[in-house]
Amino acid sequence: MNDFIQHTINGLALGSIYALVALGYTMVFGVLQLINFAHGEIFMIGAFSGLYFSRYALPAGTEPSIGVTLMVLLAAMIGSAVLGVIIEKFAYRPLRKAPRINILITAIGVSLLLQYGGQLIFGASPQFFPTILPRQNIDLGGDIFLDTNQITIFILSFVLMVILQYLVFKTQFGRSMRAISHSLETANVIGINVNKVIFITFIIGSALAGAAGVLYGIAYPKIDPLLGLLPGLKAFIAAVLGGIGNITGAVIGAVLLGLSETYVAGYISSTYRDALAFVILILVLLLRPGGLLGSKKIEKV
Amino acid sequence: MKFNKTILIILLFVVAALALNFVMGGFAFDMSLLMYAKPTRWQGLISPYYYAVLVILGINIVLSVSLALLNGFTGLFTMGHAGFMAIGAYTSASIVTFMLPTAPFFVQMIVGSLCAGTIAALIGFLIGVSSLRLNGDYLGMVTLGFSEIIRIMLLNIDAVGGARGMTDIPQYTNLGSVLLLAVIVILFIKRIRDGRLGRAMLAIKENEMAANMMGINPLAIKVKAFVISSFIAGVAGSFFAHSEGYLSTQTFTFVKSFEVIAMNVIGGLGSLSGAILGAGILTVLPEALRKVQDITGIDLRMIIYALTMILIMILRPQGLMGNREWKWLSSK
Amino acid sequence: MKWMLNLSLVLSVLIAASCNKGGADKIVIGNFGSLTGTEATFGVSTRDGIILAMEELNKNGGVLGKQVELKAYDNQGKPEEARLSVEKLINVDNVVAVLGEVASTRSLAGAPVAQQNKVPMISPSSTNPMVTQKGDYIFRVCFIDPFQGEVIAKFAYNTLGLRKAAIFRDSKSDYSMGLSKFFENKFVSLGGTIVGDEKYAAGDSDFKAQLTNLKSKQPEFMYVPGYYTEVGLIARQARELGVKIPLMGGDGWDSTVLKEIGGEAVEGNYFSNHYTVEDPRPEVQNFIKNYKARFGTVPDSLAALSYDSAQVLFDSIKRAGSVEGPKLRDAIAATKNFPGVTGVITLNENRDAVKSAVVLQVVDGKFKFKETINP
Repeated sequence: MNDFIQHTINGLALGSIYALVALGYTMVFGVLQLINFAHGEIFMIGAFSGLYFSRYALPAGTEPSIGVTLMVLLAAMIGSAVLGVIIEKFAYRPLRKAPRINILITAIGVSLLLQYGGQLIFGASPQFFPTILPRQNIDLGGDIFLDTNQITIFILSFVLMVILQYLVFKTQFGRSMRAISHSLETANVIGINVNKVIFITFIIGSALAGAAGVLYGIAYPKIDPLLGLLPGLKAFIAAVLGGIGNITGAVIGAVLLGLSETYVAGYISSTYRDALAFVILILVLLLRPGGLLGSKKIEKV
Repeated sequence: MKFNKTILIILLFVVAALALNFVMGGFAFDMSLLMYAKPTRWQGLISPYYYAVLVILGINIVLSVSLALLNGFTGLFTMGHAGFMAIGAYTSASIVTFMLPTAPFFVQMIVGSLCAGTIAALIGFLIGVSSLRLNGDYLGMVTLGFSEIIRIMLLNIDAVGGARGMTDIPQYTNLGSVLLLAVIVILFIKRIRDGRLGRAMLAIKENEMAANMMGINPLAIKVKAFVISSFIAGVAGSFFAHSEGYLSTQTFTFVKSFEVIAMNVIGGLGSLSGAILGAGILTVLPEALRKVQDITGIDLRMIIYALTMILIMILRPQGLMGNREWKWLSSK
Repeated sequence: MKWMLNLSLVLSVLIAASCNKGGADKIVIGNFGSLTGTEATFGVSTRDGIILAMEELNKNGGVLGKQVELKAYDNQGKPEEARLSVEKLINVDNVVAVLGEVASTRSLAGAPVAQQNKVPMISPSSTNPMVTQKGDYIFRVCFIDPFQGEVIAKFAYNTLGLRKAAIFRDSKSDYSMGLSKFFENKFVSLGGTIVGDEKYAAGDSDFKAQLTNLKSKQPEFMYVPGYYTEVGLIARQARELGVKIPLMGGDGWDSTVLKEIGGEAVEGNYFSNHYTVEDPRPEVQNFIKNYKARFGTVPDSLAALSYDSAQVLFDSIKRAGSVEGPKLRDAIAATKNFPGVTGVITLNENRDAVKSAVVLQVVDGKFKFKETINP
């Protein structure tokens, strides 16, 4: 029983990390219907921006605190947003009318470029992400442990979800976004500045990825240029599980994925842990392509 | 537009120059051979390195052309070709190593590659039937998922070496057999493209609903395309296994699938000649780029590779060949 | 169209001219490794170790009166590229010997090519016993899995008196799987029991599910024979889950990155290694000093091993007085009591290095020597 509680805590913590990445994923997909393969790499750049900011911009010997964390978060969000905008402008915008497969190939190309460029610039060796948030290990008794970082990340992903939800459903910008998501041509006809909305979507999506990068660095303080690969894929799967394009769905999907990975590794076998995410992906797409919270409509191309 | 074309032409020059240099390097070295005779290192007139590159080129052409049947002609976007290749490679390697270790090489080759193709086609059929209702990116992700699951399963089978990989696989693949395979596959795919099946595939690609109303069963055609394509990928895997002599799951990652897709896309989706051209470029380019490393001192290969891909997508989204075909591959 | 061809020709001649500098006045050696991709950090360390050895040699006048030049090719961590780069090194660049790879998988892919061409290949750090069985031209300067796996088994059982072990291994890494297997065999044959066995995959960052399971089996120590890239996080998460028993590992732990990432969590843990930085021998002390000066980082065990592999090669060229394959092979095979950084290297009849291993403990952020274990 104690093990079960510990597994549940671990699973929720893992899921909330996936959720942070999945939110940005699902937002860009919601608007552009584009699987932004480079999202994982924007997330990686966010982690590195945070690392370099705290290493060079903060005075040496800065004590970890909430204030420092917020500053690093902001720096990483700016770094990622700039990168996201550059990618959108130079790689995706010229292809807006091109076939989907071309955009997908470009996205994978950008992702490879950032991975290998990262290895060149940051070096291939993993680096330690500095401790910027004071953390404490709480002994809940009965050999169950909870980390304050886990709570912080869990809460943050829900807060971000709520903010995004508000943004998409309660603001003028959100209405434009949803209009574009429905039909790009129609949105254009009714006078929505499509380029501007997509631009802002990319800023928000990438900034979210940047924040996720820093929080990831806090939770798993080892970062390297290829760190976006696996979380990127898992976040995508989480977004599909919840219903891609659906903000609440992304968080629920991510938490479910985190929990099921932990339970499978804990109770069944750790050998196939990494295959599990793909099994879930396949099952969802075959049985309920719209995801848990999505519509049942099969996506048309 | 003019600006774009200039960039493209310059890009092509660099690629052509590198490719030419790569080829000439081979010949230059061949001539120097006459002076420093090292007979053990040579097989006929061509250096083993260029020989190995040509074998890989042949296998890549087969893979690329088989994927063109799905991606290019039927319009199905799949990202799991590495999985079918892996099944073929491991099936053939296991059958030959465990069951036919002493058979003459042509028996090994025929039995090995047919079994590889059959098993790959069988798995392809199962995946196809279950996932072909999906479209677009979703199909891509599902096939990617299947391919990764296949890889992780192979990694955990101790009989085929597990993480260490499978060693001592009989190496009977030679350049002749690979080239023969490539020619047969190209002609076979051309025949399909020009026949009834090909026309039905094209109809589905253009408009599935209209095709359905014309009396074509889209699902049946798609499954057929899937089975044929995975069969060929399995055979290519078999040839790969017996040319390398060693197999490890590190080969069959998502990157491999993506390479084959990139071959198709760079050459031009929907063009058989494009698939061949793309395979040629993506096989020779990374090797030719090793020279760049000599000059710069740092490894820029993958960066140039990724940039090339992005630039081609932006500047010439229809690929180098577009919808055109070389004369000997055109339908008339 | 014609000027296009001309331009290409000029370009290609230029490129060709710029790289065919290595002539008869130089001895060319080759290295293949993963300089990009998921395992790039190991490939880069390995290449840097070779570069250091080569530069030191060239400064002192080279070998056989010639300077040595290194060709290092990237294989992106793919076995088929590893094979191709060995083909290129041997048949195009005419190297006299090949140094590489880290991973046994890619050494196994490259070794047959070296063997067929009768060009010696020395693997600095492939520990799978099968690697050198590929032929009499294939050597290694590290110890093999069976020995290193037994080192920790003996140390834990005899020195620390522990009886219950749990294993946490990397299913993607042949090195980790191999060490675990031989550790398990030895520990059980000594009389210990394995109470838990879990797997992870290199590249993962969350290990808590498996660690929770292992913890509930109440082992007295945990054997985690992975690379420092993951072990730092594993140690951290184990402590976060309240695991207080020592973790133990192999030479894959030897890196400052482990201490940085693991922080206090790696304190008190043990691992087996080739050498200790406390060793006063000048080989060790000079290597660490020069490596730091040249590359700005503290060398890991992979750099030390590749440095040694290059040193053994240079020494053999000197003794052979020739760079011809068969003569060089015989000279390498005759390597005896060579004072390397990673210990005194003697190659046995299986072309494997016979060395003693040391067990180190992490104390105050330093790797402290605990014990030497002989083969």
